[in-house]
Amino acid sequence: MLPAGAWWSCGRICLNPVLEVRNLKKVYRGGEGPAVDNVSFSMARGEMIGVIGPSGAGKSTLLRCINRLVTPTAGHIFIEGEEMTGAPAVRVRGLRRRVGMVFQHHNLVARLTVMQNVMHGRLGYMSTLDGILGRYQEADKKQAVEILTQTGLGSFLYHRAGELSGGQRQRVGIVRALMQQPSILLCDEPIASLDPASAQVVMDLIRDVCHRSAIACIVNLHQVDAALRYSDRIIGMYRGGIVFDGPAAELKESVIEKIYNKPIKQLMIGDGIKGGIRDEIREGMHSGIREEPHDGIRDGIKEGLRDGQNG
Amino acid sequence: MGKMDNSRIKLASRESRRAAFVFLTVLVIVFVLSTGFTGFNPLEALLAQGEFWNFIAVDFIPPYMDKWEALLRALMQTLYMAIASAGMGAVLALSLALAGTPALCRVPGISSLVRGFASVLRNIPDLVWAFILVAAFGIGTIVGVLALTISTTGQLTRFFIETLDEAAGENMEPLLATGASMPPVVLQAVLPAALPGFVAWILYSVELNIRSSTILGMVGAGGIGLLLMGYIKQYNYAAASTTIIAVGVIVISVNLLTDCLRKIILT
Ligand SMILES: Nc1ncnc2c1ncn2[C@@H]1O[C@H](COP(=O)(O)OP(=O)(O)O)[C@@H](O)[C@H]1O
Ligand SMILES: [Mg+2]
Repeated sequence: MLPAGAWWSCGRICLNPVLEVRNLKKVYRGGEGPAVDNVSFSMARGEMIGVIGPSGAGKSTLLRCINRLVTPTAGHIFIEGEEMTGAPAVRVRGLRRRVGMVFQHHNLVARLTVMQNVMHGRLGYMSTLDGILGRYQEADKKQAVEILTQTGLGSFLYHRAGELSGGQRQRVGIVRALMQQPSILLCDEPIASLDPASAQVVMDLIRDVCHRSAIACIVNLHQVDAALRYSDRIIGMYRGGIVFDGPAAELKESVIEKIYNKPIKQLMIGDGIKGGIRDEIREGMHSGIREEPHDGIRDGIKEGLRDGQNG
Repeated sequence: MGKMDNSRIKLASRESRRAAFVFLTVLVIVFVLSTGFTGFNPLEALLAQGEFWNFIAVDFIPPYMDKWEALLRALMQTLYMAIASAGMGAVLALSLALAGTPALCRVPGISSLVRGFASVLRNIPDLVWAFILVAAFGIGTIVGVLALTISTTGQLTRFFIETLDEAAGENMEPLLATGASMPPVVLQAVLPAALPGFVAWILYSVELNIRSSTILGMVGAGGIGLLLMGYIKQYNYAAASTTIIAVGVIVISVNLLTDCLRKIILT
């Protein structure tokens, strides 16, 4: 296993990838043309990929094929070397435990408390009977409290999820995914319905999780600026195919125009990107990565996860 | 601008306004014709009012009751009937609805089967069930409970399926994505999310059942309806009016109570 710090991009080819997608194709019944077509890439531990592309490009379909919420039409997906495609239901469940997912909406059961929602992340590891009865391990509960406290949700343990703000709800969703002790985290437009301040908190948390706990993250984003600022690597999708795959710093205007099939002037993205002050953004991105954790969130999560793995 | 002056600006297209007009006209014609065929004459009803009020004033007023104990016992019987049948109906409906919600039970065809069965239970009026059951079990509370349980099961199954479907649609996928299997997901996420809906529907069927059980009693299903029918047959209108008032009081207080409970549960 690579050290936790080894988050940097290793391009298309990496040794021992945590996720490998090979010639993935998805054609929906009744859909015109494939939603995802011949997509291949692989990912290293702790890598953060931002997926950008216009609505309908196939970003969600790609993520949902990876944990088989959607059954791929063709191609292969390997999670830590194990093939997900074609696996029987029991194996799929075993693999899903290692893949956390954060959705844009409806992440949580609104009526249940934050603790109840977060503990759902453990259901995949429990016997059916224990799951039905909700008999969670005390050690797991303790870990949940720790991670929630480290993410600034310590005073909301017994609040109903429905009472939280959008940003808090997304953080709870991320903590539930962390309770799965995943090696991959899939985020489908996690900040699409958040105000800019909450969006930043959520993206910071995802990046911390990714880099400090060496969890590979794929984040679908509408906001090109956010993708540039937070990702080690960008995948640009257009009509089901990958049209760009490379370091964020290499995403040129011409590529953005290709991804969105529009001249850059007609795209509402940060002026920095449009106006050629891209170096500044790039610097900001790097300083963002090196920045020390504000309140020990990162180390705390890492420790919490390590404890969980030992116990 | 000058051209617009003499024609007003419309907010909807001519076709949609015409369609609305035709629809309303047809509705009024159907209503008038139907009323005509019943032979119901509003004037006659107005003229006959005197007789009606006379009957009420002379025979029904003042309410008088000497057998309070019998009245109370019958009322309690009706209340028990309504609650017991709502409870049993809810348990049966939950099992049926779990099987009949396509998102939860993927066995093909079972959803239509359950829906069809529930629709039969629901669409045969409970009065008809009561007639059939009286023939089998004789007069008594058991008939009322059975008839109401059957119709409650039919209704609640349909409402529970809707509630479960909505709860599953919103809450199931994120949990399945964690690698959990179906039974824990249903128990830990779908049912808790559906619970307020369930309780609201059960309270609603308690209300319905109280009203229905009064009528069912009149065909022999026990409770307050049976008592009321007895008084009417004996021309004991004073006692009958007391019984009717008692029914009104019970129905209204149960409604107030369930409204209260609903508010507590839904917030
Ligand atoms: N469940 C579905 N059934 C049929 N077509 C779908 C379904 N989900 C998505 N699609 C289609 O697949 C394409 C890709 O959709 P999606 O993956 O949601 O794109 P994105 O997330 O990039 O907006 C779109 O054309 C969409 O209409
Ligand atoms: Mg999408």
